[in-house]
Amino acid sequence: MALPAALKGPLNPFRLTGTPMPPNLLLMCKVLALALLATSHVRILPDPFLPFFPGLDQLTEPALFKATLQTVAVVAAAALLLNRTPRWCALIVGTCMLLAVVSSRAYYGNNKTFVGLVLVLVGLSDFDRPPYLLRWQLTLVYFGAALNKLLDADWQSGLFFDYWAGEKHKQPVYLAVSSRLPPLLAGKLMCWGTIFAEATAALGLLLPPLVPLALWANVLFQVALLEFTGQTFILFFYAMVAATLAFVRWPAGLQVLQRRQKSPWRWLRWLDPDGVQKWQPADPSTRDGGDSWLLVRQGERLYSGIAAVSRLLLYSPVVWLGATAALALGDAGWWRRLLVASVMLLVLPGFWSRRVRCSPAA
Amino acid sequence: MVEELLARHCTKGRETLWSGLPVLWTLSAQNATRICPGFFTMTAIRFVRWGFGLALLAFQVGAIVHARFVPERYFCWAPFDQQTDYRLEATVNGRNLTPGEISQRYRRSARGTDNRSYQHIIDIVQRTEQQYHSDDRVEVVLTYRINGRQEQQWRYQQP
Repeated sequence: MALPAALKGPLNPFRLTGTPMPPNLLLMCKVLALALLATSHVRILPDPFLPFFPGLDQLTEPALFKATLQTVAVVAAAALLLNRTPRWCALIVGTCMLLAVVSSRAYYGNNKTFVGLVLVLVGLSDFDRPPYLLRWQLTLVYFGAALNKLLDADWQSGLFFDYWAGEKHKQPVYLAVSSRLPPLLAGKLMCWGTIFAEATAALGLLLPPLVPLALWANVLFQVALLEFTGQTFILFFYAMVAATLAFVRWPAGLQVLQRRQKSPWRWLRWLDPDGVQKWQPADPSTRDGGDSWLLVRQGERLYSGIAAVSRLLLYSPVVWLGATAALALGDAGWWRRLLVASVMLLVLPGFWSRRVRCSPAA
Repeated sequence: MVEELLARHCTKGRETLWSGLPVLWTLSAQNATRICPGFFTMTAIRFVRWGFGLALLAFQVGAIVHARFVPERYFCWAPFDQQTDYRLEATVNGRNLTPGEISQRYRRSARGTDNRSYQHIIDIVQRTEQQYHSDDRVEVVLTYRINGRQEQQWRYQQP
C-alpha cells in the first residue's frame, strides 16, 4: 500500500526528514509552532509596555512593533511547519517570543519565556551531538522552580497547595482527601511532593544515567498538573512535554512484522510520512513474539501486540501534531483531561509491555 | 593524525566539525584551511552559537541568584509559587478610575489573582505612573492577600 503523493512532498508538515535538523528536534519545534498558531497565541503578542530593557518602548510606534512581531512570528512558525530552513525559523520564532517577553511586563510569563528560550536554543544547538543547551535549560527551569518553592514558607507548611487546590480550584479529590487528614497535612504532602519531583528532574537531567528518570518525572508531573487542573497554563504544558522530545532517539527505521498477508493494522502506515516503518511478513519459522498479530523490532528489542502499535504511535509525527492541535482547539477542561489521558494510555504500553528476546534483525 | 581527523570530519559537512580549538592548537591556520576550506567560518559560527546559548543560560543563573535578594521573581523560574488575590483602586487627578480604565492603564484587571509574586503588581503600578503618567496626581490602593492569608494594603501616591 503506497503512501499518497501529498504525504511524501518536502512541504508536508508531518514530515520530519529531509532537513539538517534531527527529526526529534524538528518535531519539538513543530509542536511549539503549532501550539502558538492553533491557540492563537500570536494574537496576544504585545506592544511594548514597561519593557525590561529601557528604550524598547521608544523604538517605533507600539502598533507597528506589535504588528511586525505578530507577522514575523506567524510567517516563521508556518515556514517551520513546512520544513523551510528550520534552524532559522526556530531562531526567529523564539526571538519573537523572547522579544515579546522582554518588551512588556504585562505579557511576561514563565511559559512564554520557556517557549522562546527552547526555540532559540534549538536554533543555536549543534545538530551532530546531543542537545546540551536544551538539557541545561530544562535543568535550570526545574532547579529554579524547586529552589524557589523550597525556600518559601507557604510551600514548606503546605499552605500554598491547600489554598490553591482547596479554595481556588475546589478540587474535589483534594478536598475529599484533605478533609480526612489533619489540617494542612495533604497540602504539605503535595507541596513537598512537588518540590521533590522538580528537584529530581533537575538533578536527573544533569547525570546522564538518570536522564530517563528525569524525563519521566517531567512528563508525569506535567500530565498530573493538567489532569488536576484541566489547564495547560497557556503554553507551559505544550513546551514542557515537547522539550522531552529533544532527548528521544528517533529511529531511522522500525521493522514491522505482520503474521497475516493483509493485516488490518496497515492503516498505521498513514501515520508515518517519513517511511520509518518497514513493513514485511514475519518469518513463519521463528516464534519470536509468540502468536502476536503484529511485531515491531527496534534494534535488539521486539514489541508485540498493543505494545507494537503503541511504539508506532509514539514515533508518529502525525500523532504528536494531531494531539497538539486537538489540545489547542478544545478549551474545555474535561476535553483536555480526556485527550491527554487517552494519548498517555496509547503510548505507555510501548514502554511497559514485555520485551521479547530475539535474534538480531536480518 | 589530526590532519586525517579534520579531513574526515570536513567531508561530513559543516555540522560535524567541532573541535576547532584543538585543531588550531595542533595545526597551522594555513594547513587547517588547506585541508578543510571554510574551516574558520564554520568554527567561528559554532563558537558564536554556543556563546549566545551559554549567555542565555548564564543570565538565568544570575536571575535565580538575584531573586534570593529581592521580592520580584522575574526570569528565575517561579511559576505558580504564590497566589495573590488583589483589588486595585486608583484615583487620577481627583477622579476615581473605573475597572475598565484601571485595566487599560495598568494592563491588569482591577480585581483578580496573580500567580506570581505580589511585588509584580506593585512593580507595574509604580513603573506605569513614573514612566508614562509622571504629570498626573495619582493615588493607588492595592489590597491583596497572599495564599489566603490576612489582607494587606499597599498605597502609592504621586507626587
